[in-house]
Amino acid sequence: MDSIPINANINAAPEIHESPVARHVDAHAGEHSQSFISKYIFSLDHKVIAIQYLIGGIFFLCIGGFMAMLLRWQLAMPHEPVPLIGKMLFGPTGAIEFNAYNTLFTLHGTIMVFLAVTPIVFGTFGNFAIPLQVGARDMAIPSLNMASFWSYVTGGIILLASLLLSTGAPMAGWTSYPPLSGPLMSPGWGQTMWILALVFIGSSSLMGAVNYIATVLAMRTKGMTLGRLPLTVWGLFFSAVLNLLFIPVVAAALILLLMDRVAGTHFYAADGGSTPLLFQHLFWFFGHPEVYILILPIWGLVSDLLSVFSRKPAFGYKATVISMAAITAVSGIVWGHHMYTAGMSPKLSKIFMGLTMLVSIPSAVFFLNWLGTLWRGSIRFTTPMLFCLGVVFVFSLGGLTGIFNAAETLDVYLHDTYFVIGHFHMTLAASVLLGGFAGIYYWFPKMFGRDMISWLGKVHCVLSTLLVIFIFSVMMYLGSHGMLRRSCDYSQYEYLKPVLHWNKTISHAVFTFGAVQALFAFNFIYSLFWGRKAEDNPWEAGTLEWATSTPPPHGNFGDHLPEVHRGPHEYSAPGDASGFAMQSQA
Amino acid sequence: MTTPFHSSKQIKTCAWLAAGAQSFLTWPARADVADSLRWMLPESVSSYGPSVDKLYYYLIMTTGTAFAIVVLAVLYMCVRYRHKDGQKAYYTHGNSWSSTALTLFLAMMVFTCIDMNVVRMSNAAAKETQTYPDDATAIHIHVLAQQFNWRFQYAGPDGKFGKIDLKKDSTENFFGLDPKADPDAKDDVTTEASFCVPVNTPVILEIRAKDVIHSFFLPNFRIKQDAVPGMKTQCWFQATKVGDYDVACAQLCGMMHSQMHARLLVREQKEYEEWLKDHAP
Repeated sequence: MDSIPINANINAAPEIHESPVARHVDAHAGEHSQSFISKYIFSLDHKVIAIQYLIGGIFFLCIGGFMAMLLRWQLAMPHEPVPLIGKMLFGPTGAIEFNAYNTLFTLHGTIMVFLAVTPIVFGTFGNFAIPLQVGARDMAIPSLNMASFWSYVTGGIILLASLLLSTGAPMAGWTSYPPLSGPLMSPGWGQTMWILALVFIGSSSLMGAVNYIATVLAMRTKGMTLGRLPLTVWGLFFSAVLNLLFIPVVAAALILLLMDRVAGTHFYAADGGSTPLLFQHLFWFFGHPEVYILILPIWGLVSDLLSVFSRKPAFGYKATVISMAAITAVSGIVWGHHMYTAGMSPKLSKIFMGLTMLVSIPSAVFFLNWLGTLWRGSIRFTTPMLFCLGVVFVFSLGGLTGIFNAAETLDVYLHDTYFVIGHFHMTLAASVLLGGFAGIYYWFPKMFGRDMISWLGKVHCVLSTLLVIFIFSVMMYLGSHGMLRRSCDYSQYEYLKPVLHWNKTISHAVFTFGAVQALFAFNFIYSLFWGRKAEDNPWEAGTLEWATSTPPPHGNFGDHLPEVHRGPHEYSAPGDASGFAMQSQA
Repeated sequence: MTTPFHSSKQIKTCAWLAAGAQSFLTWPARADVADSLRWMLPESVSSYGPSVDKLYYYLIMTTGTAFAIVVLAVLYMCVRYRHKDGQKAYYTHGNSWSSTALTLFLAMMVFTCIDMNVVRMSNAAAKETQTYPDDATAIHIHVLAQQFNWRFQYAGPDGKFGKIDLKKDSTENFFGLDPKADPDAKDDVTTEASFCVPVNTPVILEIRAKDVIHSFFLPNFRIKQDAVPGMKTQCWFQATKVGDYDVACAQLCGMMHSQMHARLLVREQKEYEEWLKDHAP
């Protein structure tokens, strides 16, 4: 592949653009003929890899969303045949049977967390924003970046292939607790392939994380001090730190489970002298930070965008970064709140409850800083801004309902009900999804060189936000009533009779939500080919990605890397007639 | 650099507001008010149920208020500070000590008003749910979870449980009891899919799982406890009202997880004794 030396050279040192070699490379980069395969498939360019992640993420988002709708069909119309496609997917009756239902929610969870949301938030935004915003020509290790993407693709293919197995797809839930996921209770290749897929996807995130940390720490352009990094980069950086610390733990936990399944070991077997609780501890030791892995980049992005569109510096930059660091630190010591009913000592539960409550403080600081950014701003209601406001509403609901689940005695009641489903969908599905849309609408012009249709985006935003708030709030109400998760049929429970009709209402809302996403699909595809040509800086933002041409050239910044002279949010400074100052403006 | 609020008078006002908020927010936890909010939760029939519900209502009020404040504040600012031609945003970084201190103060107020009260109320409720009743006065029942059934074992008239051996269980003998060799097992009552307890009497459950993790859930009693293979877990409750209640499995346990339910029959003492006699071996 002839593009390797190019990227290797331009990344060797930030000053390299002064050397004759680099000038040759840079001059060459634009017109350098690359084959289609090395340019778009096995690409080393971070911007292309970002787009690859975006396509992969949206593809899996569609699959995971489709599965969610099948689940909602079953909950609205238990054991009724699925119209049109039922016979094709679920055999002669066309109805979703018990095993099919279990497979659907297992894969819905796994796909959404690891194959849809992580690639969009961490893969796409990380790859696209970090080198551009810190003023680097590419990631620190482009080949590792490429390996990361293809490891993700491999994991995705393995997981989808598990659906075709005659011995049954994985159906032990996205948490896959042993002994249910062990060799006796889930025989066959389905669960094994689930583990292998997750190991590949985990490795992918790990490679991305190493790259992000190296790029943020070592590849910043001249003048880009840590205190001048955009908050998006800070969010992605802390997210990468969490990946680096906790993915190895879940990988180890899964490999032990794999050994139990294929090599006859007894790491989690009660009769082998161990306990199944070990897996839960290891899984949630990773599982809780995973929430922050997904939400931290979105928090950073929202902080930046609120500032851009309020035309005002982000309020309390330092406090925001310190809160992110505090949440990163605390997230590693709160996993026990997933296990209040697991058979853990009640003393330990109380310690975990106290630690979990600490998350409130940095989160509240965060929120107040967001409000502080809006305060006395000059707010422009663009599509990304509306999505950010959506995130503020949805995440405040998600965050506040987290306290219900943190409170030990109340969580004993709410655990494994739809309250938990509503809560974590608010935090890591709805707000991450809305934040993801904010990022896509925001960077689309820079990525593809064309504008998206603004009014269509706004309609998409308002409808999506209202629908997710409705859907997950009603789910929390059902959970308060004790409706259990992962059940395909509630008809035998007397205590649920008064509220079950709500399931139909939620399903209608979910189908509407699915239909609303067609607005986005149309907008995305139409704008990609026929959208208005974008300006270099359509949002009048100050960060470095808007200082280069649209779309950015190979190597990102022409002959010379920009030099940074100020912070990322210099809007409306007194005496500045243009209303904002780019970071690279002398 | 100026901050949004900086005079001591305004901070004092905040403190007064916090005190007022505190009494407003504890209001729904009062029993009479809780009655009118009953539609939010299923009927509570255990001795400690009201303490758990109180925590729920408190959280609904506090987090509801916090959410309302966020929504109103954002909507207000969206209208008040919308872009107008010729008007510039106010230039501040909010990094000064006074701004940071104010943010931290408000965050700590949220922490004190919500989180610390919740910890206190949760611990008070935990004192009820986790303090086990006197062994002598309580009824002991062993619960066994197995795909996809709940099984129950009573000690019988001798008050002694037969030895459970899950390696020797069969479809008739769920607990693997050996009445021939084990005199304690002779009079043990075992049932499947339903069990009976007397009203107003503490019941201690010892929970086992045969195959995978299950979770014993009594929605109307506000209690849930996982059943873990290789471990004995326990919980207790005291029913306050006669009736039939649902027992659910809350932890995904395999294909028929949704069908794994049982009924709890709460009866007067006399009827309970008759029920035991009817089910004697």
